[in-house]
Amino acid sequence: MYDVALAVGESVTSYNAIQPGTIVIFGLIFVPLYSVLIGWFAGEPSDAEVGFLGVGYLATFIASLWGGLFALTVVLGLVFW
Amino acid sequence: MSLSGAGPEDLIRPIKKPTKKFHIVGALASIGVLIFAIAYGYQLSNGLAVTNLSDWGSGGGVTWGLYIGSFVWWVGIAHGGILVSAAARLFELEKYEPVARIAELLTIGALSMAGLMIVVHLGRPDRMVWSTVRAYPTTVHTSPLAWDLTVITLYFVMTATYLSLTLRSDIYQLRDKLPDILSPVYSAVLFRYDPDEDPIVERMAWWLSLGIIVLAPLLLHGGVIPWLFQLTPSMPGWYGGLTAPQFLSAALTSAMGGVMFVAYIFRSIYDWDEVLPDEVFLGLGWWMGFFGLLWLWFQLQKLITGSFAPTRDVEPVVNTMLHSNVYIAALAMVALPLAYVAFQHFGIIEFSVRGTVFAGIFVILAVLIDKTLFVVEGLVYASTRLYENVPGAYVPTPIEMASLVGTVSLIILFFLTISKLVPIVELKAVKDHETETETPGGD
Repeated sequence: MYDVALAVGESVTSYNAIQPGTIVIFGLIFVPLYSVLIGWFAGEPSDAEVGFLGVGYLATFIASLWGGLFALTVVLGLVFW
Repeated sequence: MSLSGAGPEDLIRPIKKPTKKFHIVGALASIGVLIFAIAYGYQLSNGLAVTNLSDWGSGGGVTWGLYIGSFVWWVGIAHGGILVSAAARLFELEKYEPVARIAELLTIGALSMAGLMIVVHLGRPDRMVWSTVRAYPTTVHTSPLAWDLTVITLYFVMTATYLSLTLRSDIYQLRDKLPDILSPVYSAVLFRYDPDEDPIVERMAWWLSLGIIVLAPLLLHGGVIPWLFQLTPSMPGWYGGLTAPQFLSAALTSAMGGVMFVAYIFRSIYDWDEVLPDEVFLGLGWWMGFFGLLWLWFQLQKLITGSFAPTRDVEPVVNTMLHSNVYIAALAMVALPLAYVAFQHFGIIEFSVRGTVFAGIFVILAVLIDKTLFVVEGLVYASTRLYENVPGAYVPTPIEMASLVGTVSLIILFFLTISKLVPIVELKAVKDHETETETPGGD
């Protein structure tokens, strides 16, 4: 039953089990990102201020990517619907 | 390698002097974008039905066609970009340093085009972001589509951060040679810049290279992108573990072709024979051939497995492939360039940059054909038999073709624009080789 829940759980709360995406995305796919962040702050040479600059870049690009996409979809909605 | 003739002045030549060729390429690309705008406007006004992709009844049951094939194709091309750059940094392959930044930019541009193909394929794109974000806390747990968006976002921002960090030092060193009119751009790039940060930033870029070189091949194009297809057991053309390595090999071979193509355009426009020397194309051509060989080998596995004693579901898929002239043409368009670059390396025929780039164009087109066939055949031969009596057959419409032309044109304009803003070859690629007189050999 646990295996079935892993494979076909229809929502996060319908089974009291960890869903596959939780493991795949946050446990596996994000490992390179975790490694980068650890390397930036704990590796040699490193500097917290420059490290936070890098984190700022990451955050800015996420915001601009999805913000830009959102703006595009809003414009399309206004023009065509 | 002899780069002694190239210097910092050569790198900023594109920023200073738009050539006649620059204007011609820009004008052609603008026409391509205009065609796309008209076609997409027509599609938005009349609905996705104009492409026959909006229902199960007008294209033989095919609802994913050239748009999704192009999406996979663009993501694949995006891979080579940053991988060339990351490999050059991690493994100290100095030979590829001159194309590292071009490769990074290709990743940014190609990923953007991949995203655009998804937007174009939506019937109601105006709902896309809000629907996706609102449902994400639930969908991320079970939906490969949500995984896809997550990892492409991650790949994009890591690449953009990598590019931005490595650009700072170059802009600082070349600042007095760059045009004043773009000062606000350079000030933004140099936000809180301190020359003492260079060794730290260099190490940060190294960490990013390490992360990207694991993420891109193993988890993105050998991971979530093929998982969109290979986790669907009701589509025998898609299902199975071989799909991921097939995708990855196709991505890498087409990506090498893509990097060569863009590098060749710049080499031609700006007479950059010394900045982007023959050795770079020789090496990229070799890697293109190697990954193409892997792709052909995976095709062989699929054909043998699917034709010797196939299950009832798999048999029509592979049978169609074996009897498809388009598929056979795609195989030839990888095999012949592979033979061409191999003959060059073994000294049987003379090396030609132009010939190698053309070989790369054939490979790029072959992968586009293969990806589109893969997507379409998976849907046509679904084992559910749900669409068995659906009339019609899928043929890409002019609307879809126009969108493909549009994305190619947009990426050309992207490169032309960015080449006017920042140096598209790293300063260290010239500096590192200023004192070199000999080629370090084939990496």
